[in-house]
Amino acid sequence: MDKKPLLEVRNLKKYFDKTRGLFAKEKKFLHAVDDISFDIYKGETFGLVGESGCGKSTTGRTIVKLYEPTDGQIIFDGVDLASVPEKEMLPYRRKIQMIFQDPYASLNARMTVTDIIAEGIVTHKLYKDHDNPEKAIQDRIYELLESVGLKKEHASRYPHEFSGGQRQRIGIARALAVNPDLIICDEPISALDVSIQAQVVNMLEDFQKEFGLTYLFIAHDLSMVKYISDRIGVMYLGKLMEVATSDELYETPLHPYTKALLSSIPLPDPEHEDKGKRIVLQGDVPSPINPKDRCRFATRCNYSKILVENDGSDFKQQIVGKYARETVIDHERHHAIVEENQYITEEIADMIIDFGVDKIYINRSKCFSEEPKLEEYKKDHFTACHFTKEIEEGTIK
Amino acid sequence: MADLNFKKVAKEDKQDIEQTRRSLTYWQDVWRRLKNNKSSMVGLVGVIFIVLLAVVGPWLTPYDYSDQQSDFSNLPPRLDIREVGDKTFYVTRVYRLLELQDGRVVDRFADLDTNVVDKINHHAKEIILPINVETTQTYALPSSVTLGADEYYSEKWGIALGDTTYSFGDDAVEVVYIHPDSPFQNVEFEGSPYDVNESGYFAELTLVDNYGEANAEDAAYDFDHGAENLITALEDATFVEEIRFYGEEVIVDYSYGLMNDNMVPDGYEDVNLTIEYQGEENKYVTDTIHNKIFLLGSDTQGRDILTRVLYGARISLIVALIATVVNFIIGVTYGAVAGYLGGNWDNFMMRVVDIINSIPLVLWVILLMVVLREVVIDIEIAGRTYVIFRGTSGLGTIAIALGTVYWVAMARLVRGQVIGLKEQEFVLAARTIGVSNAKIISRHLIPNALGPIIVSMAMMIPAAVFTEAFLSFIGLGVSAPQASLGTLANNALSGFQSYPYKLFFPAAMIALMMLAFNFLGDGLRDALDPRLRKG
Repeated sequence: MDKKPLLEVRNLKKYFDKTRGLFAKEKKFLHAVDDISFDIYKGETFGLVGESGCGKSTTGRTIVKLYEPTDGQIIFDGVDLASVPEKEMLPYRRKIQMIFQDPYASLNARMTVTDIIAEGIVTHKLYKDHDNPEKAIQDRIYELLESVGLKKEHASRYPHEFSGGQRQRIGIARALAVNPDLIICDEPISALDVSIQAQVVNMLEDFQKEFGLTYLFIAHDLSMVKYISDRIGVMYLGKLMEVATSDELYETPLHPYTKALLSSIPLPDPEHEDKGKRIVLQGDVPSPINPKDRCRFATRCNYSKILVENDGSDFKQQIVGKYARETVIDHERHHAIVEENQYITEEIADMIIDFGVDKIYINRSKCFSEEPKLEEYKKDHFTACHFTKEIEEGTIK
Repeated sequence: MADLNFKKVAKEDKQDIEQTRRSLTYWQDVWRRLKNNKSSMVGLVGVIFIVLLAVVGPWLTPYDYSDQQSDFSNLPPRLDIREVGDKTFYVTRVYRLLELQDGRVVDRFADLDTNVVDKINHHAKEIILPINVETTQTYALPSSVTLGADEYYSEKWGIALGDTTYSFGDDAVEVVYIHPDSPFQNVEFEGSPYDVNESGYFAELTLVDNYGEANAEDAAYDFDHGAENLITALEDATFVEEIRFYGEEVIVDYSYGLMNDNMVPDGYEDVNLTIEYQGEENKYVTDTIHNKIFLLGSDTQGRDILTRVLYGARISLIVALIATVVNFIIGVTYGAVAGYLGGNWDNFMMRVVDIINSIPLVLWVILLMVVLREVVIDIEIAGRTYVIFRGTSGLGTIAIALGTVYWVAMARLVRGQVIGLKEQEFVLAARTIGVSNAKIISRHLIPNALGPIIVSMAMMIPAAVFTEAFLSFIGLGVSAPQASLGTLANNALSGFQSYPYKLFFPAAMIALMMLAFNFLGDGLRDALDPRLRKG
């Protein structure tokens, strides 16, 4: 693998305007992809993982400019696609192709397999100089069908006559038809049976070797991503949390979110299964609409809270002016003394002490006031956390 | 006992046998489902039948939609005939006496004037005069006799003829005077000798084909004044072989229908009218036969209702077809573009649709009628001029009115479909490939929305037929002499109680068209329903 980036994504942002009504006071933006940067080197597979709704697919679609990026650069082979106007995109469209998640929705039911695969060839006029373009296209389609494991006879059929796995193969043939350099695989296997998943993934690997393809592999299946990817980026709420090589990430995850994510992989070995290593995240993913200026993971991170114990004199001083991490409820009177993320005033602090609370979690202020940047902690290992060093050294828990 | 032992199979047998079956395309599948639906097949057959009738039908009838035969006006499809002696008569509601043979009219007698009591007894005469003489002398009109405005005298034959007050387009004249020495004088008329002063008597003189050697036939057919031309013809004739008068007396007495109950003689209680001929008297309708000249009857102007209904169906279908095609082209394009572009474009285009949708159809048609009244568009092809639009006919205006308003529903439907489809991954895939927007709309979006589009169009045809009929019915549509089904129904309204058949047939045609298209549309909807079919 040479170290030449094929695709450089720089500070890519994609906001969706969710403002409803003509006279809304405040504009609402869904920050689907919020300032992410990464490189994909030629010939490698870059995995992008994260839970549902974290912006993985949006990232992929923005790179092929199915969505117009709000800000940032998508430098492909030295050209910033973000600044190329739509009308001049055609030559670049050939170079970046996409494989879609749902094999049932990604093929036009009214077109034959031939029409589906030939569409790209015809659009880009790949055989216009050929003596007999129609024959050349037909031969090319047969060749593609055979290389994805289908038969010539399938060319004249309609998509509904195929199984999910076969359809996904047609989708791959369609992407390959225009000889792309980069293929964005948007969860290409998550809708398939496990047995078919392996076949498709192996096929994708074979094509990578054969044609020198570069993949951006979007998935939520962590073990499959580890298997296929050279490097992996972990996304959470539109932000990249950690980028590292595949092995490095799985062996020594740095970011608390990555740790939690990896701990959720079910192990097939009952000996190692669930030895208290499982990190269960509390709460839900916060809303991506107009997110606050803080670490995106702070609300669910185990390291972003500080335990303050009432051991005598300075308990009050420690908690006044901070934000409570959890709600303290007076069950007898059915009201909350302090609510989650509420600012603790002197008055509230007194009430907490009066109520007899002897320990309380408060928010770590840096996590809640400042956005961490994606920084290189080790060689080729980037993470976005204020306290990576401290966590690694074990100074904070 | 079955053989339970497994056997080793040869290697080539282990190969999967490729299942070969004829694969159905989407449309083959739709057709298969449509065929299984009985009511929609009935609808399809009905539609084909109606379209054939409308296209071919008007050429198969012997009449044109505007042919008028006013002496055969208001003939119902079934005729109540009265048989007297060897003749068959039909009395119309305005007391016109028609002589029939095999359901066809062979002779027509004068209208009876119900207002003049004196004329209650109608005497029509036919006398065949074999005047086989060369006339050598002339008979000058005596100075004591003066002729009226439309009366003419032939000195050669000594007979004066006058135009009758009614005109059938052919020769119906009245003998007003016969010279005492005329060869006609030898003829015994029924009753007293012919007296010109007695207006109760008159005879119809009919020219038969062989009435004279002179080429008077052309003259006779082409006249405005029957008497004048007949006289000219008689003057030109050197030899008259036969002149035909209505001879034998037919007495129509409809006084019984007008009498008070206590005046009616015994045996005539429920008699409306009597016909007396050759001494026989007919009191009742003896038979009901099919009208063989107008299968579905004739209207007030004596036009064939069958021809007009077929022609009306043709016009209704033309209007529906134009409305649907315009609807398809504008509605689908507009809706697809609005849905695909989305955002502010979609908002703007849909508000335009809302505005168009808020125009009341009737008002719109009236406005168009006023504006387009003077407009005539014609094109010249190879020296001949073809009028493609004439504002006064109403047909083009209705088609324009429906075409400009009806696409709105289609645009909304297509927009909804396209909005749902454009986020589908196959559209994203096409965009990733770099397919142009126009091609994405035409190759990906519209074909996938075609099911609902076709259903909507199939449902729009009966709606357009009905709207056209409605507009014509209230007098805004196709104008005379052209007839749409709505116009026919409207015309039939005035005499509805006396001539219900005039309303029945156009109404039945509208109902049949609506039923057939609706059945077919329902079947198509079931066959194309996207909820039943995925992928």
